[in-house]
Amino acid sequence: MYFRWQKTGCVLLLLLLMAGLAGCQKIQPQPQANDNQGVAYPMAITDDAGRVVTLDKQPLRIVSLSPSHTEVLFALGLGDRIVGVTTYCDYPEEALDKPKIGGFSTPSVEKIIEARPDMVLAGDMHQQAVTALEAVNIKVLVFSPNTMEEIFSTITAIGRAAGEQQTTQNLVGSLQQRVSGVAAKIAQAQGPKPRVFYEVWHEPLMSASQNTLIGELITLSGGENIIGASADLYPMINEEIILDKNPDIMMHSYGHGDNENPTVEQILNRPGWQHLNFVQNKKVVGLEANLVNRYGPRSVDALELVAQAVHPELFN
Amino acid sequence: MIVDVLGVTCGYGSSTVLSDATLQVSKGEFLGIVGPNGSGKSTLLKAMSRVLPPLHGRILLQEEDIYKMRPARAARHLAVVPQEAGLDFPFTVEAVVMMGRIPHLKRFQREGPQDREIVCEALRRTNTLDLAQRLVTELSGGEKQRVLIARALAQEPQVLFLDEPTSFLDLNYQIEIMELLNKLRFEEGLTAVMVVHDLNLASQYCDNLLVLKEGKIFTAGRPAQVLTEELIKEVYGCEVKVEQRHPGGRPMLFIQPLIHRPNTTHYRVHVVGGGGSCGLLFHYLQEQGWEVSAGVINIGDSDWQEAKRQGFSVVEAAPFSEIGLEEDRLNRQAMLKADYTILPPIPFGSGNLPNLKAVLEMAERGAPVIVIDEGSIAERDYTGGEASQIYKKLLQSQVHLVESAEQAMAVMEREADGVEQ
Amino acid sequence: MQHKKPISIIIGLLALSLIILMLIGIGIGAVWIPPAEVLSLINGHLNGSSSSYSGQMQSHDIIIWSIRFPRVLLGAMVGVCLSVAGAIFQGLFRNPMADPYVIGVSSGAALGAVAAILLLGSLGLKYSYSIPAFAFVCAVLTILLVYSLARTGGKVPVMTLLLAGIAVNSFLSALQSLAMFYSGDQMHQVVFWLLGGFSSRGWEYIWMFMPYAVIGTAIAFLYTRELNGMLIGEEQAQHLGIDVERVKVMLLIAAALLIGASVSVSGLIGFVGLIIPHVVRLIIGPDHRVLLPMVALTGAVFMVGADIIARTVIAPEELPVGVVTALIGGPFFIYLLRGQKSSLYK
Repeated sequence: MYFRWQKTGCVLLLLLLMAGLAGCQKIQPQPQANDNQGVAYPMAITDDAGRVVTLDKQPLRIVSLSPSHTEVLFALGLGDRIVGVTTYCDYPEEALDKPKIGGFSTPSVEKIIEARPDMVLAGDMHQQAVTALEAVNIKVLVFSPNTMEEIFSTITAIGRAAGEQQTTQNLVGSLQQRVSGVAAKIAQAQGPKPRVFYEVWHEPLMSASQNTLIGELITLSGGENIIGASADLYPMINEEIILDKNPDIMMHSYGHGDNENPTVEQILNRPGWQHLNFVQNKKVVGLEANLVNRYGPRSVDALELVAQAVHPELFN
Repeated sequence: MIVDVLGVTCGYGSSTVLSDATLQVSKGEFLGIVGPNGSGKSTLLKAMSRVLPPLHGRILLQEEDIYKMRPARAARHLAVVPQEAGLDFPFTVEAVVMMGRIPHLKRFQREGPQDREIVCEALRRTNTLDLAQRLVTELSGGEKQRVLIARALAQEPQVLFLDEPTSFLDLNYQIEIMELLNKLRFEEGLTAVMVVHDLNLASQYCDNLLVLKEGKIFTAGRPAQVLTEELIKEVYGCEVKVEQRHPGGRPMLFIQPLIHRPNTTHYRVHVVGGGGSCGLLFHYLQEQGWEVSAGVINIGDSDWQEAKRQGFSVVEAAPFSEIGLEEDRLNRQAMLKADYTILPPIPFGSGNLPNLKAVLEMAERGAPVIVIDEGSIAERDYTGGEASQIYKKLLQSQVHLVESAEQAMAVMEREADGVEQ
Repeated sequence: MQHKKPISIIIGLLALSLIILMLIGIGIGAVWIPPAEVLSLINGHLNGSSSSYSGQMQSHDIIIWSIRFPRVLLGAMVGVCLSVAGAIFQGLFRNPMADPYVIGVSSGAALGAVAAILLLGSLGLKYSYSIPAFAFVCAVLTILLVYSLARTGGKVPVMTLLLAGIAVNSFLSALQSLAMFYSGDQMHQVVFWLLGGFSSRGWEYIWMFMPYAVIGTAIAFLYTRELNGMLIGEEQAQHLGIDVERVKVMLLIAAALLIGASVSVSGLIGFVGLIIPHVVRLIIGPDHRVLLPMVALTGAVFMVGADIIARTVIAPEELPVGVVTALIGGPFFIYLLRGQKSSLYK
C-alpha cells in the first residue's frame, strides 16, 4: 500500500488546529456590575444573557419581541415609542394597533430592520434574531425573568434604558407595595399549608415546579406546590402523584385556545378523581393564561388572584 | 527474462492459496496459465499483476520488484485485461481507452495530441476505431473485451496480463481475441501472460503453458510436452484423448463421452422392451447410429413412446392386451434379422411372456443374445414363477450375460473390434 | 447517441439561471423592496456610495446587503457543497443511491455540530469555527462506520448501503433526540437549527463555512480523473496505476469537509446530494471532469431556488428548506428505487 499517512495526517491536524483556535476566539465578555444609576447617555446596560450593550442616546424607537415586554413598555408609559410588536401582543389594546414584526418565536429580522429601532427587547428564545441584529449593529437587550425579584429588576432595567427613572421607580414601588401587602396577609395564615396542584396542560399531564413563576406565586401565597422543586421546569407527571398527594386546591389556566381548555365540570368529573379533596370541595380555580405565562406588572395581579384562591379567608 | 516470479506464496487470511511459485517469462513470450478451478491461477495472475502482494517471495519486472514500484510507474510497464468488463457506466469507448493514459499523465496535465494519437493507435489495432464514440454499455461481449485490450494497450505496457479474457465470449470472438494477441506479440514484441480455461485454445496459441494444481505449479513447458493424457488425468481427474496433427505439433484434446467409438461397424439390434426400462439403452444405441428395432411393446408404454420418438421400428401390441400370435411372429422375424437381440431387465406378466419365450428360442438356436440382468428375476416375475423358470433356462444357454446397458454396449463393441481386425 | 453536447452552452445557461435566481432571492423577503430599488442598492454597494444612505434607504440597504445577500450566497454555496459531496459518494460507491443524507453522514455531522453548540454554549463561548470542525470529525467517523458496515466482498452493493444508512441514521437520530432532551434552554435553538434552513444566516456564517467548503471542493476537483477510474472498479483502477486507497481517503475527507461545513451552517438538508448528481449525469454523462463543475452549478441553482420556495410558499412564515428538498427529493428517491429494483438482487 502506498498510502501517505504523513501528508494527509498533517493536513488533518492543521485543519483541526485551525478550527480549535478559531473556536476560542469569540469569548463572551464577563458581566459587569452596573454602577451607573444616572440617566446619562451613552449608557451601558447588562442584560440577562450577560451581554453589555451601550445605548448611545435615549431610545425613541423601540421594538418588542415578546408580549411581556410589550406590556411592560406600555405600563411604563412608553407606548408612543413602540414601533414594532409581535402578532401575539394583545395587552393593552393599543398594542393591537402597532406595526407587526412577526410571530413570537419567528420575528422577521427584515421587518425589525425596517422599523429602524434604537432598542430591541428580546427573550431568551430569540438567539437567532439577536445574532442577526447584532451583526447589523442594532441594539438588543435580552430579558427573561423567572421570579418576582427578577421581574422587578427587569422592569427597572428597561425603564432605565429608556431613560424614564421616575416613572419606573413609581411603578416598581407600587408593585412592590402590593406584593408586601399580600405577604403581610399571608403571614397571618393559620393551620397547615393548603396543597396546591397547578395544571399546565391535561394531555399530557403537565405541571409546574417550584422554580417557575407560578410556582413562586403559589409559595408566596402560602400554598404548598405538590410538585416541589424539579430540574424540569414543566415536568410531565403521572396521575398517581395527584392521587397520592391529594391536593386541596387545583389551579389551571384558560385562554390557550377556545376548545382545548377543560371546563371545571370536566375536571370534576375526571375518572378516579372523585375522592380528591379539591374535587369534593369543588376548589378548582382558573387563571387567565396570559397572566401566568407572561411576566410583567400583571404578574402582581396574578399573585393576588392566587393568594385569594389559596387563602380566601384572609381576603374578605 | 522480463518477468521473474520467485518463491511466491499468496493467501487470504490464514489460508494459503498459492505456495512457492517460481517461474520466468521471456520477452515476447505468450504464457498460458491453466489448471482446474481453485488451483490458484487467478491468484498467481493477481500477484504478478501487482494486485495481491505475496506473503512470501518477490515478483520482478525487468529485475525490479513490482511491489516496490509506485502504482503509476508499474502501470506504465504492465497492463491488465480483466475477466469481466465492469463497463457499467455510459462512458464512450474513446473515454474508456483514454483512461489507459492515466499512468502517463501528471496530476494537472491534460491529455495531449500524443495521448490521443496513442489511443487512436490502440483502437485501430484492436479493430475498435469505428466504435470510438459509442457508449460502452451498448457493446457486445466481444467488443467490450477488445475495448479493454485497447485500454491496456494505451498504457503502452511491456507485459500484458489477461484473466480469462475469452471465457464469456462466443467462439468467433474467442478466436478473434487470440489472433489479436498473436499479432500484438509478433508486431509489437508484447509479452502476454494469460489465465485461460479452454485447454484447446491455450494449446493452439500459447508458447508455453504453466499448469497449476492445488496451489502449486505442477509443470511447465510447451503445449506438446505438457498436454498429455496422463497429465490431464492427474490434474483434472478425467479421461481425454489427445491428438496431434503432426508429431510434436500443438495437441488437441478430445472429450470422451461414454460412447465414443466411431461407428465403423453398423449393427442391427433388436430390443425386447417394455415397462420403461429401455431409455438409456435406446440412447446409447441411438448415439452409435445403429439400426434399432423393438418389440413386442404395448402401445402407450413409455418404452413404446421412446422407441417411436427415436424413430425405431416397433412391433406393437394393442394397449394393455396380451401379445397375439401375429405380433409374436413379427417379433421373432425381427430378432432373426438383427445382429443382436437384447433383453433388458423388463417385468414379465402373462401378457408379454411370449417375448421371453421368443428370446429363449433365439438363444437355443445360437443367435447372439445379450441379457441385461439387473436385479433378480423374481422381482420382475408377475407370472407366478413361469417367467423365472424360462429365464433360468435362458441363462443356462449361450447368452452374453451383463449387468448394465453400458456393459451391453461394451460387448457389442468388443465384438465389433474383433470384426474390424 | 450524440454525446458531444454543447457543454459550454449548458454551463452558460446554468450560470445565467444562478445569477437570476440569486437576484430574485435578494429581491424577495418579508419587507417589500421594489426591484428597481434592489438593483440600485446593489449597484450602490458595489461602487461605494452606500455609506451615505440614511433613513429607509439605509435600512433597505442593510436588509439587502446584510440579511438577504449572505443568505442567498450561502444557499448557493451549500448547494454546491452538498451536490459535490453527493457526486463524490456516488462515484466512490459506484452507486446512484448514495447521498450524504440517505447514508447517514449528514446526521453524523449534525450530531457533531449539535454537540459543539451545546458544549460551547454551556461554556459561555460563542460558537464559531469549531462547529464545522466538530461536524467534520463526526462526518468522517460516520463515513467510516457506514462504509465498513456496507462493504461486502470488496464492493458496496445498493442493498447493504441503504440498510447501513438506515441503521446509522436511526441510531444517530436517537442520539440527537437525547442531546435535545438534555439541552435545556438551548433546545429551541437546536431544534430550529436542525430543521435546516438559511434564515438569519449572516456574513459570519459565510466566513465560518468558507475554508472547509473551499478546501473540500478543491480536493474533489483535483481528483476527477481518479474518480473516473474508480467508476470502472477498484481493482481495475489499481491496474491503471491509481492509488485507490489514497484516492478514497482524500475524497472521503473532501466529502466530510463539505458535509460538515454545510450541516454546521444550515442544519439537515437532504436529497440534494442524491438528485443533482444523478440528474446531471443523465444529461452530461459520467465523466467527472465535466460532471463535477456542472453538478456544482446545478446544486447552487437548486438550493437557491428551494430557499426561495421555502420563503414564499407560506409567507410570512418560512418553511424549513429541508422540507422543500425532501418534498422534491422523496418522490425522486422512490422513482430511483423502482429503477434499481431489477438490479437489487445482484
